[in-house]
Amino acid sequence: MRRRIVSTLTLKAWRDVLAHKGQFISLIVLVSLGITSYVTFQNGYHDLAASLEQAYSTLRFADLTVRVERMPLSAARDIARIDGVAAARVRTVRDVGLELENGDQATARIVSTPGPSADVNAVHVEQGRFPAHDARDEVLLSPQFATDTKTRVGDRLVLRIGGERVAVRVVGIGTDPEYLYALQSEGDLPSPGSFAVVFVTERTVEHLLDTSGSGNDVAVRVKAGFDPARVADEVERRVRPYNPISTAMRDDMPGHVGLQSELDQNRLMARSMPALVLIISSMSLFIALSRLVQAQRGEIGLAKALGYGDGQILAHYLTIAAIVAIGGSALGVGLGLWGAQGIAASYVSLLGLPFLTSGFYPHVVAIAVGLAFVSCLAAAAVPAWSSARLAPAVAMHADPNRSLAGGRIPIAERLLSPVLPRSFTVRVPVRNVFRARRRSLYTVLGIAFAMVLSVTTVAMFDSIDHLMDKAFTEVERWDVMAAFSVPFGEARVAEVRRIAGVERVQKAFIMPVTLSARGTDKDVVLTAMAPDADFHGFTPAGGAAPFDALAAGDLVLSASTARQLGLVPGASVAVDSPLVDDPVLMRVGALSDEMLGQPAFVSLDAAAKLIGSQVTEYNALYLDADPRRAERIQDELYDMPGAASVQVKAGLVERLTSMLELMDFFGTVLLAFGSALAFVVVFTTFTANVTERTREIATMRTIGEDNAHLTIMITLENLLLALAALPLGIWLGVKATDALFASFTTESYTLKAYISPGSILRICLLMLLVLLLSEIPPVRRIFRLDLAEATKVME
Amino acid sequence: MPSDDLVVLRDVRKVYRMGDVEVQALHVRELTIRRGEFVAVLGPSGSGKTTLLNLVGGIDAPTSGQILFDGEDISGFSDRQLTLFRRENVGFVFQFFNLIPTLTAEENVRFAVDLASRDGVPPDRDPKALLAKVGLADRVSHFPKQLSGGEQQRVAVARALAKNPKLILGDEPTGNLDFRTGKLVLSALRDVNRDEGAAVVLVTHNMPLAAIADRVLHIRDGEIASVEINERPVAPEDVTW
Repeated sequence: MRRRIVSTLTLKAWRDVLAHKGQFISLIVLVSLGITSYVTFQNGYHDLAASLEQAYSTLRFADLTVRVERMPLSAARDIARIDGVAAARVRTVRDVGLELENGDQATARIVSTPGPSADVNAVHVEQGRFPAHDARDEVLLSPQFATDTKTRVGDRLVLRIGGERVAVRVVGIGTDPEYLYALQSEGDLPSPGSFAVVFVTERTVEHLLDTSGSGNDVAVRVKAGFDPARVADEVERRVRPYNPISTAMRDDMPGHVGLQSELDQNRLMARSMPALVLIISSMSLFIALSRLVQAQRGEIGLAKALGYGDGQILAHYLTIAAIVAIGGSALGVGLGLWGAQGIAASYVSLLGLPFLTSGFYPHVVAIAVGLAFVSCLAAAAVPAWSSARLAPAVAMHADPNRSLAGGRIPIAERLLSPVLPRSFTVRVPVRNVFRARRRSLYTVLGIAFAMVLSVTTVAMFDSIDHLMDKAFTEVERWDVMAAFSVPFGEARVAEVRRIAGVERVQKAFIMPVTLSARGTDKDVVLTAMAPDADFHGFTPAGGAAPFDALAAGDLVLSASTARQLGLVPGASVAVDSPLVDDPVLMRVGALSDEMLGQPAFVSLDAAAKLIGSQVTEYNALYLDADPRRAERIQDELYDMPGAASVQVKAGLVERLTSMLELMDFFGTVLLAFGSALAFVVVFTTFTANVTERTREIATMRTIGEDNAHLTIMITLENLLLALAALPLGIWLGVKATDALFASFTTESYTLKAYISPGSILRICLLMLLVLLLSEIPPVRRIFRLDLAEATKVME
Repeated sequence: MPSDDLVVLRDVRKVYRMGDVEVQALHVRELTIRRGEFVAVLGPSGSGKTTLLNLVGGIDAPTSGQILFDGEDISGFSDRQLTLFRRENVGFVFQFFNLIPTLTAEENVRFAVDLASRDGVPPDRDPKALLAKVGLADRVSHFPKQLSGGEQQRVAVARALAKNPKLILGDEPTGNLDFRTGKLVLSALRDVNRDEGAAVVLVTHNMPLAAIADRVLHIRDGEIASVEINERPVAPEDVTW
């Protein structure tokens, strides 16, 4: 008997779904959107991670590199004999200037390599070929630079080495695992058009840089099961005769750090974005199912009066939720697997990985289906349980539609009364907003949640634009910046000052140092500068004013570095410089909130302790210059001996902006996804609104109200509710962006959520458009109402 | 000079199609409702009473036949024309009152007044006076939720009167009310019929209520089985059921 009752309820559940198929289809789509985003991002992330791993293993990526002054190539054999070393190779790595055929300037990193056959850091050739062993002017160019500058195989480049111009020919496009993601140094924003990696044979590097059988860097691959850090210690010991400058473990290498950062962001995105979509869809599902169950209170009361138990009724509504979950997860998994292929392929291409490894990850699908069931059952359980616990008489007689305030005109309407037209076309919507409070609340929440994903997408892009704008107007206060691999004195400064168009020259000495405090080490780039130099803008975050701290001989640290080392202003930190034997204890005078990287600053006078003598030579210049002559100035700077990198800020900004435009595709996809989600959520909400009021609307039509006025009334009511929902949606979206950024913030950059007034206006207009479109189906339903039937329905 | 006939039905059929099956809900060969007449429609459930009411009131269209209202054929009217027709000519009183929950009693009535004013001459009706006429002078500012079932139905009667209609249609208007309250509503309808001159068509399955009508139509299996004329209609107050 019991079995029969349950099966009848199951039949009813199925009939309920069929009877409200429009609403259920939208609920299924809502769930599927959450699941689609989860499967797409998670599968995409796993594919990306697998592709990266394949590239590293196939190309035999080094576990560590040690930079030295100069060591013979043959020393690699000695290092290769160290216990735990799988392979070692001495190479030359040096930054020089580069001029394209069209006259554009960039920085080129010359890296010597045997090519695809190398035991450590093998080169992957994408196009063309690797330079011939006996050629002296052939190079392999990194693909990101080649793509950005439209350089092709066969083109000629000019390398500017020590004031000399040397022409070379591009015979291939490709890279090694260290420069899959070509970054000049850690903390740099990727700027493919301004940094090239030029791979050359040993014979060519000897010709270009006169290395004569030596190199300045050793790359080491460690055997599986050995600790790379311990191997590094031994390698450092062996290269001591060659004046080691710095050691970079794989985790310190800029390209790897950049890729890992992208991968980490992708992983976070794969968690946070679906979580956001699932929260939105679950909230909307909760509201929609609540209303559905509320609307069936009479039936629930009847079922209870007939003898059905609370558990059976609960099971009935959970069955309905399960039907939604099954439909949503089937659709979502299918769409997600399809979307993941596109996402992985796009990312692999964007990041320049040479291989795409696609896989099927059963655990992702299992979790996705689990999430669909959990969110649907949770959304249905609360309203179903509360209804099941009602006394039958209450459930049967309670009027679910009359969630109205007491018997008075709402205060808001009384206040608005003098300005409101007398027409009921206006007064009825206003009255409905304030008197049907539960419906209004559900609608406001529905619209607000519907907006979150779109607002978050727009806010993410606005925040990046804002960061860029701030970085290049308030922080980087120079027009041209030049870095030199060979330090220079005042004579060079004076020479630069004489270049036409140069208005002001500020000098600095930049060096890598290791900060140590409380047992934690941190590698940072330290800039020694005059205390009154203003080429870098600080954002004070504690302690003295940064310029006062510099004048007092103290350090200025980025707030994130201080946090990582547990330092506060006034505390001491050990600074280990490659130019002196022992670490120097220095005081932290001020903190600065740095958006990009983790730079540290000290005065030129105080830097003397880290160099071992007074600073009389510099390796960086920051210029204020006439923008019209900036490229000419860059050209002249590259002609100077030791010029390694000359950046024109305007060009850098232009390249970064154009690179960010590539991301617009992802923004458009996310925004389209957000709009689709918003449409489904708002459609579900509006449909429920109209369904709840079928008899009221039918009555109005019966006594002579026309469709046009009814449409105006419904639209006006929805617009009034949207006015309340829009600020809430913007606020929720910005908060969600903040939460996303909190998880994305890395050592390289710190992001804070920002949305521009223009974007707020655009998103509001987009939402109003979505709202009006979502209204069409329920309004059409009103037009098609069977008045004779609808007016007889008992509420 | 206008004819005495307000509504004329000629060979009107209403057929519902359910899949491959056609069900004839109503077939009226000839029926005339005169101005100011009070007509009761009696019959068991499913006999076609409400279908007749819906066709006469313009909320449903006949499958075939002709319905003349004040001499004009409304059977071929478009949706828009039917809306205007209902707005100008017909007042409805439903079994479940069907008041707009967010409007007070006065506003519910005013809603219909405003509608009638929109396309033509205002009916010059004061909602408060109409409510007073149905005995609700002291309940004008109350919302439906604050009124009893009988009061709500009397508001519905006042609303039906608001546009000064030629025809008032009541579909089981006492079906959801107790005996005493039901009589109050019937009295209100009868008063409106006498004082305003509006024809009233009252659908009911409650036989004793027919005593208040001038004429009684008995419907069975979708056809008018018989017509009975009440020479001496009784006052609603004297009816018992």
